[in-house]
Amino acid sequence: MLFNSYIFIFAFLPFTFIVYFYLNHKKAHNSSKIFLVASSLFFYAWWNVIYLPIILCSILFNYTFSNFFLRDNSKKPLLFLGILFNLSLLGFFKYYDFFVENINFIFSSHAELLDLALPLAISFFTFQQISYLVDSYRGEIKNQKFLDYALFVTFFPQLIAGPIVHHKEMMPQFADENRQKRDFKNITMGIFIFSLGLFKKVVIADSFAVWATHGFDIAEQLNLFAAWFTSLSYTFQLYFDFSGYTDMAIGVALLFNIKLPINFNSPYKAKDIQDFWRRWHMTLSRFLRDYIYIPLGGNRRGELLTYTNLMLTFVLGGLWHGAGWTFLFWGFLHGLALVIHRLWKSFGFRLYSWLAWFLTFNFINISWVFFRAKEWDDAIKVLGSMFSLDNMVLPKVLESKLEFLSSYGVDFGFFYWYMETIIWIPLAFLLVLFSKNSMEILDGFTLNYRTAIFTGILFTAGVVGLNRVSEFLYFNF
Amino acid sequence: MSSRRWIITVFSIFFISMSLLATVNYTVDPFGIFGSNISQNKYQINDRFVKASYIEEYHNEYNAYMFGSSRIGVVEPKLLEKYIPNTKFYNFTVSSANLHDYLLHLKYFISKKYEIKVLYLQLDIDNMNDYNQDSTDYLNQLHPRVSGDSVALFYARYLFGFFPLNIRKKIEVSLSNEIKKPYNMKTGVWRLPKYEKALTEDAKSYIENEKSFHFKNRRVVFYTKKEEDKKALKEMVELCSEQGIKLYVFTTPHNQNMMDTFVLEDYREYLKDISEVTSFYDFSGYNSVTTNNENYYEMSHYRPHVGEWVAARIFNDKNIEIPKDFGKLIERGSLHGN
Repeated sequence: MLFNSYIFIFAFLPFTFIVYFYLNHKKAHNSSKIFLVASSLFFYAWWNVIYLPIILCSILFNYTFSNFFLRDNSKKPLLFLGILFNLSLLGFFKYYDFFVENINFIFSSHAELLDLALPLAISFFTFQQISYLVDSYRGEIKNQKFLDYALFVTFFPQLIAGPIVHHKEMMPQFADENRQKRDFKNITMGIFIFSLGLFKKVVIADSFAVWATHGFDIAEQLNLFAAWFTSLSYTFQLYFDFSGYTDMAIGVALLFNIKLPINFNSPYKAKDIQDFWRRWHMTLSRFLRDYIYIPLGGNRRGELLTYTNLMLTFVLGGLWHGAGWTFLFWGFLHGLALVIHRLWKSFGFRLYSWLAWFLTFNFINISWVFFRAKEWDDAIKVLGSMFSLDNMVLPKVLESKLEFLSSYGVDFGFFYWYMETIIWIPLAFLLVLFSKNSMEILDGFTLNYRTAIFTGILFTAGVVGLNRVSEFLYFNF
Repeated sequence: MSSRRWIITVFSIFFISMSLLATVNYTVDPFGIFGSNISQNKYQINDRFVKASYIEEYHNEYNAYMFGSSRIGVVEPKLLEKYIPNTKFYNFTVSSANLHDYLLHLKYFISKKYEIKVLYLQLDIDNMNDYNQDSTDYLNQLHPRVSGDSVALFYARYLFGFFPLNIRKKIEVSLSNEIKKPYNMKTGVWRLPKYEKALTEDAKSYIENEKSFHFKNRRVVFYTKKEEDKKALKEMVELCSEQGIKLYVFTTPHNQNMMDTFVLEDYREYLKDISEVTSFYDFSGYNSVTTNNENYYEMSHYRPHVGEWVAARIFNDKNIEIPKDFGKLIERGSLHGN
């Protein structure tokens, strides 16, 4: 079920909300949690019920294993076994075909691919449970009820595409009985932030999606301008799509008095790549730092190993997003950029603020091309057009005003699909660079007619835009 | 302000806005979905929905169908009925159609047990980079019973969608007396009487003033939907064979300027793929019809007499004089190599 669908907004969410608080009102706290877990599983199974046994097995296995550590946390082999189970599950469904394809390519063999459908959210719930397992082994977790654990993994606002929540921030909230009472302040904030997210996803991201999709579909035909408009469209689509989804998740969770962690903090304002990763998909960065980079040794074993750890962490981060060389290369590029940034800082070099932003933004924009392209060739074609001066074509309607550009090799064509991006892209720049982000707006949220009217307009525009239902990009990961 | 009042205000704004929107959409009906009587014949309609609904009600009156994009829309059914006795054709032309539309409509008609003796199928060359329709294209959404989508959701999308430009345009058109593109729902045929008159009176001047004839087109249409197109056509051919439907397939005689947009190698590959599935008549390419702009309203749509020539060639009508280089039968499997 999509957050941006009639069925979710007008049926599933109100029904779940009403029944959950009715059960709590009747002091049936356990029943309300069971109901919330069941609703979350229903929400998950809505796409395809065959995924359901996979998540259920994963929950049962990890809860059982973590309980071994509660009794005796010295069993290191058991930890490895637990992590191996989780990674095998992920590896089998997500990476098996990628691995076999490459083996076939290298050895000219013909091993069969499985062509398995990727179980929804498997990357998210696997990471969450690995962190739980590791922390159980470290003795950081006290006795937890199965119901609270099941709710921690399945809680529907964050189940499909994060934020990647940590048990330390979630389980105490589920255990807190004060949070099981209806709280109108949270409800208003939830409605507000959900409406804002819905608007970002449906009105902004889905508009950019049309141009980005079309551009990448016709990668070999792009001219210089079309290629830049395509890559920028995707850059903005991804941000508004994913941050819109996160806002909606945070809003829905607030209706149930649960606070999800912040996942975005104006990432396109970043002035260096380290800054970017402190602002983009913050809960993934946190996971990669705490469960890969630091266990590898972090920056504690000399410069060379620090760089190696950074590269390894980001290559794995790239691979987490998808089983493909383009994702891996995207992770490699970011790892490399972080290494260069670290070296740059160590030499004490400085850049003008605007130049630092310009370089960072363009690096991110260019690296997203690899992230988005279905095939390696498509990425090369789009990037080739972005940096080729041989094929500069502007829409015919601009010819009368920009005729002087003809002498610089610019041609004017009959009709171009990216006309609207000429208006939308500058607007998106204004939004991501000069306006407050959702969390900053939420911080200053007050109850008055102005915010009520603003929310009403955002919600209405979002619902009207539901007509063009599209999935969230991060569902693929 | 209290939380309750804030929530009531938000949802009041929402419900009032949605009610207004639904009222306007239902009354003006910019895509012809709700059967509003406002200028039904004057403005664009979602012809996929309207025609599927029409055929649902009147399918007993027809036993043969013409499938194609808007380009086949000027061909009168009686033209084909002349060549094939005991048939009653319906011109199921729909805007921007591609093989996805043809396959789904054929499947739907068969599933509903509509009688189909003959299927007259026109394939546009630009189908080679198009399959399916954009979900945001309200003018071209399939009837929910054809696509298998939820009927309630389909109506909700048209009722609660935001279509300011379509609504404004429909109101403008309603207030004018002119009917630019009359549609005959009984035959499925559309006409452009004003353009036809202008071309008949002074073709030279018309052609000079029609901008689309004079653009220098770049080759941009690649054969990107090879797998989908070939699979759909194969499925259609098999369905027709199973159901005893006589199938005629031919390619659109695209205007030279349209031909200029097709990447030649891909165009040849597309024709080869059609020939691997079925025999067909090829009217595409540069010939004395497609290079003469007098045969077209603009670079996309041919005039009715071209449709007559196409039928005359297919049915070998010696009474009609057809340019010799116009149309050729391509036998199944005869296009090999390049």
